[in-house]
Amino acid sequence: MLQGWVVIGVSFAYLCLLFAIAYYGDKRADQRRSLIANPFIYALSIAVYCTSWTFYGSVGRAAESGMHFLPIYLGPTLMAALWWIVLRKMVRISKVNRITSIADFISARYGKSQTLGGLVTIIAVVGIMPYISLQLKAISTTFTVLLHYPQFEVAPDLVAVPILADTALYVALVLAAFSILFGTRHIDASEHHEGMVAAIAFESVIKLLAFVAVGVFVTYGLFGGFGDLFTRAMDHPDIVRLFAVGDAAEYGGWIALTLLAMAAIICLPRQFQVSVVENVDENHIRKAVWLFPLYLLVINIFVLPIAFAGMMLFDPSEVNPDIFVLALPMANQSETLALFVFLGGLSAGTSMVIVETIALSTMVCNDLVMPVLLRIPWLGLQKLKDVSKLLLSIRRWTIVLVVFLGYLYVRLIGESFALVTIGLVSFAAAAQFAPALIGGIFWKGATQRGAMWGLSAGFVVWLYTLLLPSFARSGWLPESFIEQGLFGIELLRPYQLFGLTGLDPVTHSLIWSMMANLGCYVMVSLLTQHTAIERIQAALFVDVFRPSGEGGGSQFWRGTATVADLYALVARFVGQERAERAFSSYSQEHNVDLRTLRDADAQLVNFAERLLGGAIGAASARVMVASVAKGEIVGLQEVMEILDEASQVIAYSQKLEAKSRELEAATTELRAANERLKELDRMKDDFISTVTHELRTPLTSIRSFTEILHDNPDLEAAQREEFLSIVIRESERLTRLINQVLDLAKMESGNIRWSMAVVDVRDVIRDAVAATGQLFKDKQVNLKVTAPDQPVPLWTDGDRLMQVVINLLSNAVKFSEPGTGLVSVTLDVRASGITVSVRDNGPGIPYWAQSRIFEKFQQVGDTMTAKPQGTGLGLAICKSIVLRLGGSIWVESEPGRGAAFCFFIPARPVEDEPAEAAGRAEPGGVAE
Amino acid sequence: MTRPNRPLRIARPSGMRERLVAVFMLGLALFNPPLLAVFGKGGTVGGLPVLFLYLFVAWIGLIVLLAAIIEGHGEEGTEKPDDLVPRDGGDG
Repeated sequence: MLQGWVVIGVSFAYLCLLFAIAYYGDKRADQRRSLIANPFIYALSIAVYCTSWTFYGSVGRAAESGMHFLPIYLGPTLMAALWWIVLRKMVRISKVNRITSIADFISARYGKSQTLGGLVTIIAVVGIMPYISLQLKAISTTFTVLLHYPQFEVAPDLVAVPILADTALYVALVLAAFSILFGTRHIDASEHHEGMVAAIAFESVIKLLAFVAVGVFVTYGLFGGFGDLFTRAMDHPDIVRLFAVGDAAEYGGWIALTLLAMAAIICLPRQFQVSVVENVDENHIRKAVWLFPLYLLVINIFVLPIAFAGMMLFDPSEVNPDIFVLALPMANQSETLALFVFLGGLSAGTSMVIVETIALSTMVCNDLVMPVLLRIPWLGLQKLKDVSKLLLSIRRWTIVLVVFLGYLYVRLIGESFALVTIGLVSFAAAAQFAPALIGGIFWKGATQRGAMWGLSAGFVVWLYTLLLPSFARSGWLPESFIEQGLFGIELLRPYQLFGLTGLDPVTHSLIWSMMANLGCYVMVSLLTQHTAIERIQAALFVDVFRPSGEGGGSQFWRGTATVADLYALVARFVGQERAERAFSSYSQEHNVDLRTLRDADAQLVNFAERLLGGAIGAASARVMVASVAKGEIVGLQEVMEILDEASQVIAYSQKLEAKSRELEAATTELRAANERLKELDRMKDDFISTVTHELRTPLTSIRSFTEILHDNPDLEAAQREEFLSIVIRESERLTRLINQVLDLAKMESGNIRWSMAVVDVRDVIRDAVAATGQLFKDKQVNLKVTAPDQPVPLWTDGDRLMQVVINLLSNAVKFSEPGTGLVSVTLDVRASGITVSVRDNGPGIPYWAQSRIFEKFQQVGDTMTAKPQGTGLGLAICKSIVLRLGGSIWVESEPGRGAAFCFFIPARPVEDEPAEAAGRAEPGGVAE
Repeated sequence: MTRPNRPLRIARPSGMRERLVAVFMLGLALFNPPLLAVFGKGGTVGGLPVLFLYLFVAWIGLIVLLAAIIEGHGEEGTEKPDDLVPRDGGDG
């Protein structure tokens, strides 16, 4: 039988060992040889997450609902995957801004608002109260159970015990004393408690070893391993039921618990304390990302086996599942193991209470008490010489207060709830911080009033749907409050708010409170405006990883203060020695001699404010600094300008880039246009020189012959006749040339009038043949026309079409041999249009010339040796006309075997304008 | 001529942040319905409850993935260019 004094003696020895570790840790920190500067200690300290709840409560929960104890650990595992993104940002922000608690963090983010910091503190204290009570209850219950070893009974009803005989009271007293020793030995501007962290890490090792020890004892000592245990458990219908998740509502509960635990792992004040405030190196987070989940996994592996073993070995009415962990070794006469398990439970409970009360005391002191005290003028705090002693005593009393609030809750609630259910109430309260906290570091637009409204709404709903009903269940509020709702209104029943039924109370509360919290947070943020300081803080928090983020906002300060004033102020709050050290390291870092400097610059003012912030919170620090520094932060307009300067520069340079791109594009276009113009110019020059050349040839011959006639009046009549006829012929040619040039110019400029009408193509060809008949006769060339018997109507300009045919005919006759020449004209009619071909049996056209023959002044044949036989414009004119009529013209020829000039005019409806319909032939559209 | 016999890396391998987020997503999928419902019906396999086995194996898998990602990226990386690029999703 374990004697009471043995248990108490061992417990005290253990607590003293803890204190020794903490003391050693602090000493090493003072020597700058930190004990906790390694990621394993960091990960272990985060394992303060595992409290008595985990140690005793998980088994109780597993015995009741199987795997449903697990989401509480799966949630943090999931969150750990995001730590490198979320937690690292919080750590960096806290370092830059000297944040010391979650209340400080939220208040600093939303414009250093004292009200908000106070609200967060109140929520934290009220919300964590059940959680602390859980630890007290677990420790005192297990202590009582251990004392009655080896007979264990249902733990005595706490409420029935007189206060002075209540173990929980003494547990509370001892825990409060230790927390005070650990956490409030001195005021540190950085708020690091290295010794405490080392002790917590040690406790994490102890509780893990203890739990695994009892797990191994049960699984391999009492049973033959996992397989044996589970196989035997299958015989119990009560246990087999626990192999499954359950019905649909239980899945809802599962998801809710996972989300709750995800929020809790960063929002619980003690988690914030160890993972953010006590972090000494951002890189430690990396290892913690997988070490911490691993810790959770190991400590949870044996939960289900222990729960099942307890259910098989004990009568459920005799032993509360919450103490299976302790009862199993006790029932099997393992004194030492039982004591070790008790120590494990003790370490789980004490670590939580120590860290939680230290975190809460910092919050209460900095964000609740100090702001109020500083505002009461007759206290004279503004002028007090050394405030650091006052700060310490405030914190000590806060610890006592918080622990006793927890004790009060234990007394009030008593045995009404299992451990886990009590803990979940606290989780749901801590989760209310999540929107303001996570939103605050990623969303610049979130405003102070949004955070206020969100937190308040979520807290009120939590209070109404979780905390008050728990009082009602224990008989401190009328039971009818749960059954019939507030004032008997059915819709307001706290566990079925607005008629939402079928959920367990925690899920139900989480849904409503988060809806209220998130809804208000987002809506109010969207509807309200930032003040200048909010805007600054938002940018500092969200953009903490931007290079300029390290400046700490000093660029927004335009105030002036003397160095001496600042020094005195800081010394009052953090003590002379620490102030001296901080200022001298500042002067070394920035290379300034503070003794000769009179006026502090913005950076020093800001430095002092952050230093103070570490001791009394950001909001109070601002008030204090403002009391010695004249001047205010710059106006909203200027803040906007400073903040937006960078983005403006970026936007401006982007605009410049776009402009230069546009310019480049325009230049390219211009260059292309210029090329085209040059080309046109060159073509014009070519044209003019060709035309003048063509004009000069007949002119020259006319001139020389007229000169001969003029100079030789006694020329023979026959010769004179001949010369005159040459002059006439050349003049005609000149006229023709000029006419054609004019024609072409008109056609190209689009000035020509087109008289469209339905004509019979056969008539057109007949007229053309008649017009050129004399040429054929003169040259003795035969002409053959092949055309259909029926009329061939076509919507076109008859005169122009005739001009084309005439040109082609005169062209053909020119190149035909007199006597043997044969020219044949063929009219081919199709549904799509008509094709006219003019074929001769002349010398043909060489391949190289065939593609160019329709260009202006392109004459086949050696212009040097052979006299040009035409103007060189005929075919060019033909091409222009045919194109205008929407058709095409081409030549088929083999050198030596004649040439065939063909053109095609599409049939088209009467209404069409030829210019628009170019190339858009419509078959069968011939109009009569 | 000896040449390393592996394909040339052209695109920058996705960073630690992306991979961690991917593991987070994977965890969400593993620990929630419908996958949870598939294994949450009860029954045993090899003497162990299916749900128990599934959850712990999945959990171990996640931890191994996290460790591989974290340790695979070496000790550098706190002040890498990664950090200098503003990429806060919540901006504005």
